Amino acid sequence: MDIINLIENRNEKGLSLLYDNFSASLLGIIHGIVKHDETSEEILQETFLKVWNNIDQFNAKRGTIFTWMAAIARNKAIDKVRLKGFKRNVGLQEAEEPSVLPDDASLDAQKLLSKLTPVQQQILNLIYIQGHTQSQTAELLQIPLGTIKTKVRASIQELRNELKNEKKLFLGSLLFIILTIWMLWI
Amino acid sequence: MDLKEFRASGWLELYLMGGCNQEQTAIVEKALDDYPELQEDIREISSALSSYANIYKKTPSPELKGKILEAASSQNLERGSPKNTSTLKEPSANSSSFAITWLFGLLALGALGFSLLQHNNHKTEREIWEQDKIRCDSIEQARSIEFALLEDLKEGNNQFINIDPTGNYTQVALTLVVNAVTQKNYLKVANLPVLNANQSFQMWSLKPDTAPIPLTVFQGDEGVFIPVDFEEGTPTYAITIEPRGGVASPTLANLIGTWSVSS
Repeated sequence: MDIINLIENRNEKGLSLLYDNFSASLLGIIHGIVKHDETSEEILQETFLKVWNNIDQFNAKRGTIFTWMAAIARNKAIDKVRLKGFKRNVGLQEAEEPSVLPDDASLDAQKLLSKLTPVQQQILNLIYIQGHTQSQTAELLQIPLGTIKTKVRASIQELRNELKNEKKLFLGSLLFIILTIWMLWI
Repeated sequence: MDLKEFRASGWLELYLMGGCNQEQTAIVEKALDDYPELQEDIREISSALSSYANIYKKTPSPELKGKILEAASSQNLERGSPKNTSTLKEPSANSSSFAITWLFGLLALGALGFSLLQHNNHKTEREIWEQDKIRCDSIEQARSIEFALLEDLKEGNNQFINIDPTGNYTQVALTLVVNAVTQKNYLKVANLPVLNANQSFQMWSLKPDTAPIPLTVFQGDEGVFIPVDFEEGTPTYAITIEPRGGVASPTLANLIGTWSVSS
């Protein structure tokens, strides 16, 4: 039984697994938008309860459970920022920083990000992590909107390619291990 | 928009990032229905976004999970669902024996293979079910459209008017169904002239002392009855062949015919 089935059956094990898998990534997105620890955790809680109560609205043909949850979290965070009248002036400051890589980023993260140019990293960070629209990002970075759109697509394509390569490497290694075990066995 | 153009548009990426407006969302979801090939793109882009978001992950405070599960549990009780709080079993492996380690390894490999098989079976069943559901929904939707059309055609205030064709189009048989009460018009099409790839049919409202008013543009392959625009107080409707997509004023040389509406 997969996580979705568990939640559809109101089995809290499903919610627990979902939390273990995605809470930290979702909190990163929410915090990127609201930039306030307590509010971020409130929104994360609202997100998980919305998923718990509305799992029937999830359509696997329209995306994965993560992208669906991220969209819920992002919308809730943006609504909260609007409600509280937060000023988004931090966006420009962060956008001007040469690197947006977090200090504690793992080697895998650094490897993945190394596939993107600094500008691509900034754009993807502003849009996906900080919740800016493409138009706002164009204005912040003083780059034409068309260029932003092109760079977003190219960035994601780079990440896709990198993940595909990693998958091939993993499958190759797994095959090698299985063959080695087989050879030792016989 | 074909599949290649759609992929190049970047809308799928924007959709999965949660950045599409309502109109763009509708376009993307239609494309997802039309092109099952996009499911692979969905998986890959989602995986890329998930990996990217993981870079910026932020660990929640330790008590948050408990709070969320407690809130979910109380909502479960409010709904009257059975509470199920069974916890996940952590695998324990404290064996120091080399043979047992190998045995565990092989068992794990076997279990992995078995669970992959099970997962694939389940996934296939779910996909078949989803495809059937989509097919049923589309049949139901088509039936409700046909039913609505029949209801409109049965309406007592309809006027069925045959076209008065111009000299070049005498073989054309077009009946305009006009209803001034419901303000819905339909065109029953038969023997339409063949269009070039860069042409469309266009309807017009002709009123005295007024420039022709451009109405519905269509290609002629939409079915036997095509819903067309109603224009209040129109004594004469006309149809022409125009450049694809329609124009603001009619090309009289391409006038197929007119319909006179009795007041």
